[in-house]
Amino acid sequence: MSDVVTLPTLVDAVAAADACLEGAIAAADAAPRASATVGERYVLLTLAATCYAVLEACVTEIDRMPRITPVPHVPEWVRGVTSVRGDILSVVDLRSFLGLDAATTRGTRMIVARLVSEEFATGLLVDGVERIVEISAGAIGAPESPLEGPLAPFLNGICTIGDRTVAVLDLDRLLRSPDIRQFEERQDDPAEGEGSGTTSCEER
Amino acid sequence: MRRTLTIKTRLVFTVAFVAAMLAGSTGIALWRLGAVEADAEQLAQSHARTAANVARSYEQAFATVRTRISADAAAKGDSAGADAALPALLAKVERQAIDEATQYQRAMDAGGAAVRSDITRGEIGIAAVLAVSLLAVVAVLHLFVYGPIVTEAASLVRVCDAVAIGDHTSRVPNPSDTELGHVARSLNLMLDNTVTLVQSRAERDQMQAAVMKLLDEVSGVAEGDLTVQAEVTADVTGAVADSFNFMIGQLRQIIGQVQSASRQVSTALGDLRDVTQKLAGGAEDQAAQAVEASVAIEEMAASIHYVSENASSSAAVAEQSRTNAEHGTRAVTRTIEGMKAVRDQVQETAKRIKRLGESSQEIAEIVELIGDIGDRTSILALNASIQAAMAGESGRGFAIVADEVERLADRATEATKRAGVLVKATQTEAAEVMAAMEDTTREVINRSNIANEAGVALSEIQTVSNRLAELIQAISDAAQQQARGSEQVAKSMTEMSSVTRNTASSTKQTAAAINSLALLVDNLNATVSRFKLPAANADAAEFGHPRLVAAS
Repeated sequence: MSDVVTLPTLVDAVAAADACLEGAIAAADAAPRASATVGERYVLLTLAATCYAVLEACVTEIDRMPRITPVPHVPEWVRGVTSVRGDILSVVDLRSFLGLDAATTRGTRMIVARLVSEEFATGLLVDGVERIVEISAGAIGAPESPLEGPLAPFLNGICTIGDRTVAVLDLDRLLRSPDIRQFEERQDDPAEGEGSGTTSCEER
Repeated sequence: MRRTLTIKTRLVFTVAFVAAMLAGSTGIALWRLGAVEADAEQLAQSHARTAANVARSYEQAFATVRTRISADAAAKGDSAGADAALPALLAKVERQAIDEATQYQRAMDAGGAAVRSDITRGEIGIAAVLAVSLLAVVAVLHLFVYGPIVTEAASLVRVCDAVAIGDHTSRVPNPSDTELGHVARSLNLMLDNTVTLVQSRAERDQMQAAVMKLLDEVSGVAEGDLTVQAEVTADVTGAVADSFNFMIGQLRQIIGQVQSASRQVSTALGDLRDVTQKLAGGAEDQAAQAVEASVAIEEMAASIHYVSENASSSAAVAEQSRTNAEHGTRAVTRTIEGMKAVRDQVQETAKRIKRLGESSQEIAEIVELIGDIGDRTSILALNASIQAAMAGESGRGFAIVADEVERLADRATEATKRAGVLVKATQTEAAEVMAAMEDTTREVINRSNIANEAGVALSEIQTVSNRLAELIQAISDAAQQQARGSEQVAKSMTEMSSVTRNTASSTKQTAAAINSLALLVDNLNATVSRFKLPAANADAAEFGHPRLVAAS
């Protein structure tokens, strides 16, 4: 076996990590100088072997798979409700929403998406959350072929990060879609400003 | 003198003797009667004298008594009255006594006279009886003895005289049933037989002719012709002929048996000669075979010696084998000990590897924990980044830190993944090593068992080698014993050879004896063959069932 890694190697790795952390802190100290960013920050997540990017502004928290209380008389893709810091959230399994089998793994994450303006939050189960990246608006382009599938209406386009193609998912639009909203307890304001989710997020 | 006395003379003598005896007896009786008479006379006189004496004595006694009484009366005097009666009484008694004496005397006289007359009558009776007896004797002798006996004897004498002069027809007439009558009957019977025995001349001639015929018939027997047969006729020679035929038959049988026996002896002698020749040949063969056997026995002795030497070599080889087996046993023991050490080490190693597996399990858990921590760190970093973004411009520096932290968490996660893979590989390998160790342990146990079996087999080989050495020693001893025995046998064979030679010469002598015996038998055959036998009889003799052949 070529990569014979033992505990000392791990120790070395931890030491290297410490060094990195120190480097990061140092970089953070120097951060205000290089604050001129050009793009929006997106959260990269994976779902059914496809990489999606959602706007960081729509995400308030990322958590592990919580304990879910099943709820009767709901579609299959609504797993139930859960409690996050005192708030009761409904949990939507995006895999089921896409028509795939519900498969919970160790990497499964719940993204707490919230529309601040409407005080509406829901939990979205995804296969995994990779990291947070900055994507400039110019990098997002229309797809060469029309996108298909249940999520197609909520996609803003695609971009390329590294050697991967990432679909940009508009969470704001998704959360405002009738399918999601029909289970919203507080439907005090009707859907408005479709396609301006980005703007509403930025209003916070 | 007694032989010349006739019966008549004897009878007369007898009568005279009887008469004399009777007269003598009578005389003696008369003499004795005379004596009795005299005695009776004396007795009567003596009694008469006695009676007279008694009478006198009585008188004297009475006189004495009277005198005494008178004297007493005178002496006394006063008793005259009483005394007057006493003499009267005495006189009375005296008279009675004298009367009794007188009567006694008379009775005695009368008795003597009666005796005398009786004796006289007896004498007369005796004489009369004597005369009558004599007459009776003479009459009886004449009537019962003289008459029949003398008369019959006289007739016997007459008949005998007649026969003496050739008159065989004379017989005693009417023989009585007395002894002489028996004699007379015997004489008559004898005379009858004598008459019958007298033969005529014709009969004698006939008998002589029959005897001559018989002699002619049987004369061939003297020359050995046993085929002759005498004719059995009804006359006196018939019985002789029958006996002769029987004798000839017996003779035929005997001669036939002798001839048959002689032939059988001849045949047996021929067989005996053959047998003797074979025996002689066999003895020579035996001598030759004895020589061969001697040679063979010498070869056998040599081979036995060879066997003995080989046995010694084998004993050495067996000893070597035993030593090798001992070495092998020791080597196997060491091997088993080595195996045991290997097994112990393998078990120890297996234990350590098991502990290693357990340690790697713990490491895996730790690695998983680190991975989990990395995972959480990553989430925390993401959330920190989000929070930093929410903080706006003031959180920008914190966002950078969060990015770094996230990168670090990614690296940690990556490293833990690799570590987990490695630990899993280690665990797999440890399990494989454990399995291999168990296999090795089993193999070692198997090998130990095999080595044990080898040790057992080697010890058995050792035992067998010992036993083999003993057996080989026994074989060697036996071979030496056999060698000695074979020498003895060779000696015995030599002796047997000489004995066989003796036997051969004896057999030759036997053959010569048989030849002379054959000559003797030939002579016997020639002698016996002079007798001629009828064919059927010869056959009968052959079968040993002789029988008389009736004359044809």
